[in-house]
Amino acid sequence: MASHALIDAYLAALRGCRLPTVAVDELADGLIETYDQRLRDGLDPHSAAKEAVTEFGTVDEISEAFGRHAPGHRAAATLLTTGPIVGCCWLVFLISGRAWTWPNADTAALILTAGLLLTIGFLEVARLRRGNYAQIKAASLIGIIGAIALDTAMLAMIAVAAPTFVWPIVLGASASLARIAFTLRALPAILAS
Amino acid sequence: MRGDAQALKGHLDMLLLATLADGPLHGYAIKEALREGSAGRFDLPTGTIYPALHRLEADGLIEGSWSMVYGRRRRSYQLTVDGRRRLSGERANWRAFTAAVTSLLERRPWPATP
Repeated sequence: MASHALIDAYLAALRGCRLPTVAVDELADGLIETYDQRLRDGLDPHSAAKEAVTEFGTVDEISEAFGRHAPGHRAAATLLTTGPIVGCCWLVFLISGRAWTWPNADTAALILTAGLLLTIGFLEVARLRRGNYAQIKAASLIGIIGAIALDTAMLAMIAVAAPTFVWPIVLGASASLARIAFTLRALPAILAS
Repeated sequence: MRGDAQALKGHLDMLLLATLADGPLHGYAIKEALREGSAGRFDLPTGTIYPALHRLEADGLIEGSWSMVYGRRRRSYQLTVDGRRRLSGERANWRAFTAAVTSLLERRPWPATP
């Protein structure tokens, strides 16, 4: 296998970005293929390696592109975009059901608010983080699990605490069930990434 | 030409699918097909092609398979049924769009008022 110190250093830098092993293998193949092509074009090994690395783009460019296209990044962006809609559905339910009069309303509000802020925080990290694939994956997984937990908690609240049926229950429950379905569908791709 | 690469935003998926219309290719070959097919105008940084391919694969539009070439692992991609359907739709949209733009840009000037 043809190689060169520049190519090896570049691949080592890519591995340092903690990209998935399969992605690094694929990038290595592409880079060596580019290098071989430049050798076939008549360049000397050093110039061929320099040319291949330049054509490939900087390590930061590649790492950022992987982050931008990562399943976790996309799922986080979707959840953050749709989050306010789901939140509004539940807000209508809580207000119409006079949630502040329910038993342990203060404690439940405190726990839910803390959970919501943490979930948003992790999802924002997954959405805004650039160049660290492992962090994007970890933050998105925590954020997604947080979103599922929040939705499940709201659904459980209906069963346990909601004193009477009010029509916004349908709105909130549908929104949460749709979000749970979306996150469960996105989860395998994130775990596999 | 890297400047033209910016103009690719929003069209990259369609072009990547188009490069695979004739059969499976690996990442570097896809990049070369883009460059050669556009007479050198779309010369993307090679490394940035791969994340886009991974996304298309996650969306079920292409599927990859590994093989061994010169002792290293190589991943080649081919269109799925959904990918072919998407490409066909994108082609139809693109033709309609370019026809509309062309008819506007190449419209003859209005005759002067007598």
